[in-house]
Order: sequence, then structure tokens, then C-alpha cells
Amino acid sequence: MIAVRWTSICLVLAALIAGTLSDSPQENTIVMVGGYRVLAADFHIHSFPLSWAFLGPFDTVEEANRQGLDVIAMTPHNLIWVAEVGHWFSEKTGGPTVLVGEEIVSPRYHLLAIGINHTIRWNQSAEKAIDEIHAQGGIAIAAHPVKAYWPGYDAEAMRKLDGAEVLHPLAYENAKRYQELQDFSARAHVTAIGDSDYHGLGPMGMCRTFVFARDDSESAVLDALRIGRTVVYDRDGRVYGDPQLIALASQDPQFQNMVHPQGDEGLAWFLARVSRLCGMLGLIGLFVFGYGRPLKPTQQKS
Amino acid sequence: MNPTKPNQQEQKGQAASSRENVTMPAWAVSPEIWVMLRPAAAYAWLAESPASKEKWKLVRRPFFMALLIGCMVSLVTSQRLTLRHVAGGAVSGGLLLAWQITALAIVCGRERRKSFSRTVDLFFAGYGPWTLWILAFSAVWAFLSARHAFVFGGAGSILPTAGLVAFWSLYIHFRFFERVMQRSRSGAAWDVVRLWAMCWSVFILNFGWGALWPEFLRITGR
Repeated sequence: MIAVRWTSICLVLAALIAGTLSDSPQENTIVMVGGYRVLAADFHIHSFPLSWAFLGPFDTVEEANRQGLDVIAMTPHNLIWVAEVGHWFSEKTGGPTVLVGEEIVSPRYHLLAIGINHTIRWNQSAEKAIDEIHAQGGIAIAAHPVKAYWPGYDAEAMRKLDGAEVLHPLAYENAKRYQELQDFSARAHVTAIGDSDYHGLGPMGMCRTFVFARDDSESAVLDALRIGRTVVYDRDGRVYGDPQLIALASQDPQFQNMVHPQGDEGLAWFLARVSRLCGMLGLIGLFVFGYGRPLKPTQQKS
Repeated sequence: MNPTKPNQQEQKGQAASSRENVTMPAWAVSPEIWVMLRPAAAYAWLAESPASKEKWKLVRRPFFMALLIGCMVSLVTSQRLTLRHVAGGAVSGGLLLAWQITALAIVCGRERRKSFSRTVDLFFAGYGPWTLWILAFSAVWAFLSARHAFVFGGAGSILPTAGLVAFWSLYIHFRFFERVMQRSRSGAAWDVVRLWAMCWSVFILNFGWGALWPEFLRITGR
């Protein structure tokens, strides 16, 4: 029993060492297409606390870096201070461009407000919320607009909207929901956005948007979103966004490498697998054999 | 009668009969597994078994839970164990565990028949169902591609499976208060309600505060 316990401890330690060694950020090369810099972006990211997320704001920025994202928008539920912390941290550490945002969670709609500096009230119509976002110089993106949220967007709100998530992890969970996202985007004629709605599950940037911007500054990214200079690829090869940019990008081998990143390679690939296997075995071993059989009550008196 | 103050005769009878009748089964390789499957018998036995003299052993279970939460965060996020994710997750999870220990201290009050560290150790021996759930959830995200993991470990699976585990834990906690704290049935039930109200309200506020009220309005259709 003791041997199994120590083996389990060693496995967890080995997993930690292997995993930490393989934990290096992806190399980002600057890709230019049609005179624009192409930025990999995820505009829907939640952080601990208060938004059903695991990672704190510092770790969120680090993870974005590791996943090769050039731009992220941190969008806590109905507040912005967590995003401001992430923005400050990224500036200090030279991390990716972090846009301060908020997911306005209302009973009738979920709306991303990107590039804002004050919290926006959730208990108002989508149209008024969009007006407030624009007044702050921000961008309004419909978050996972599946059928249940359609009534929240009246004709005026649809007209004022800047973007809509056409790709979201829901697309991989449920084909019907994916169709609803596509239907909403087709109706709205807005900037195509792919977001991972990151709460800590899976890789950040699993669904991402390629933004064609002048540079990687916040204002350049917001300008590109306003004009609709984005391209989104899903994992089955479907493409959404500006048709001209799609045509240009499809012929650029460097851009195609961005769309299909290699992930871990060589030693990092090996170490990551060692880490997950040893980690799981070690944790199971600690759970089953870590504490040993309890002492018998009679042993207490002796 | 105050439900938190059990009938003394009832208590003594219960404790004595449990000591006489319970034998440790061969399959109970660890207290966690025994408590998970036979909480009443296991807690009756464990309540009478001697506490370890090594002080660190009395905090090992909360520490293991914090480590497990950190490992889950790391495996789910990056499909490996990295120091920064494990440490970050263990600290956030550890804060919640610290609050659970505080809530347990409030619920147990001064009517303690064992040292508080021993009480905490036995209470955390009842975390087997959550440990299994965390291990299964971590395995789904560690070994499946993200696309498949969303099908098996996405929000649609988390809520129903966590709900089942919560009911299982509820029963284990009831047995903990009944057998270890030697409460009457109604007293044990009342203690579980108080403990869960304190723990889950803080958990929900900590994670979901930002959208709590609008989501409540949406669910209730107001």
C-alpha cells in the first residue's frame, strides 16, 4: 500500500515537471495579407471570479499567449473590473492585446460590449445597450445568438449591431444550435465572429476570429471589426466573413498555417502526453490508495 | 425539541449498536471508497477509530482536494499538469474549501466530541463522489479532442452529472452528522441544510454573481 502511495506521488510530480516543461507559448509570426496584418483573436473570454470561470485574469492572459492569440477581449458578466485587471497585466508583461469588455447578460439577450470603459446596464433593451456601447466607442457583438435569444433583438437592434458569433463551441455540441447561429448571422448581415466563450473548458481560442487590421493596437482592431474585416473558419472547413479577404487569404500559405496551427511538436508533444497520463494515474492512485485502510477501533485503547 | 440537540439515549444507543455490528469489508481499501458506498457503516466505524498522532495527516484531505481541483483546472485547460495552472486552481479551490471548513465549524458549534481537525478529516473522507466526478471530468478533457470533449464534458453534461453527485454527497453528509457528530435524524438533516446553504450560496456568488439576477429572471420567465 505504501509503495503504491509513493508511486502515485512520484507520478503526479513527474506529470507536473513534464507538463510545466512543455508549457511554452506558440511562436507568432507576423502574417500580412492584402496589406493588413492578420491577428488571431478571441473576443469572448471569461475569468475568475464572478463569471463561472476557472482561470484568474493573470492566468487568462498567459493562456492566451500560449494559444497563440494576438488579441483577446475579456468579457466578464455584467461588470468590467476583471477585464481591466487583465488589460493592466498584459500591458505590464508584454502579452497579447487585451480589449476591456463585458458580456451584457440580460434575460432576453446576451451581448458582447468590446472596447468600453464603463459597465453598461443589463436591464434595458438591446437597442439601448448597443447605443451605450457605441457612445463609449465600443463594438456590439451578439453573443451565441441561438433561437431563444432572437426575440431580444428587434429590427432596430439588428440594424445597429456590429457583429454576431457565427461560430461558438455550441456548434460542436449541437448541430441545430449551429444552424441557428448561421441563420442569425445571415439575417443580420454583420461582421462574422468566431469566439470560444471561454470559461476554462478546452483550449482558449478553439473558435477564433482572424482580424485584418492595420496593426495590433486596440483602435486598429476595433476599426477592423466595425468595417467587417474578419474571416472565421470552422473545423469542417466552412468559412465566413469578407469574401474578398477569404479569397486573398485562401492563397496565402502563411495564413493557412495560422488557421491550422500545429500545436505541440516534438519533445513538447511527448512531454504533454506523459504529463496527462502520469497525472491521471497518479491522482487515481492517490484517491484509491492514498490514505490506506483505517485503523481498527480496538487499536485505540492499546 | 431543538433539532440540533439530539436525544442522548438515542445517541448512545446508535453509537453502541454501530460499533458492535459494523465490520470493515475487504473491498474497503480506503475510507473514501467505504464511505462512498456504505456511508452509515463506514462513518460509524471511522468515528470510533483512533486519530493519527501525526498532525499533518489531519489536514491531508483538504490539501488533496485543493490539489485535485488545481489538477482538474490544468488538465481541462491545457491537457497537462502545469505548475501555474495547478497552483492557481488550487488557490481558488482552496478558498472555497476553507469556507467549507469555516461553515462546518459554525454548524458543529461547541458540541464537539472530537477535536475539530479530526472532524474535518472525517468530513472530507466523504468527498469520494466529488473526487470521482472531478477525475472523470478531467479525463474527458485530458484525453479527448476538444470537439468531442464538448459533447461529453460540456455544460449539457456538467449540470446533470454534478446534480447526481450533489445528491449522493448530500446523503453522505447526512450520515456524517448522524454517525460522527451523533445527531438525531432530524438534527443531522438540519445540519446538512445549514451547511449546504452556507457553502453553496458562497460558491454561487463567487462564480456567478455577475449574471445571477438576470439569469434568475430568464429562468423564471419574468
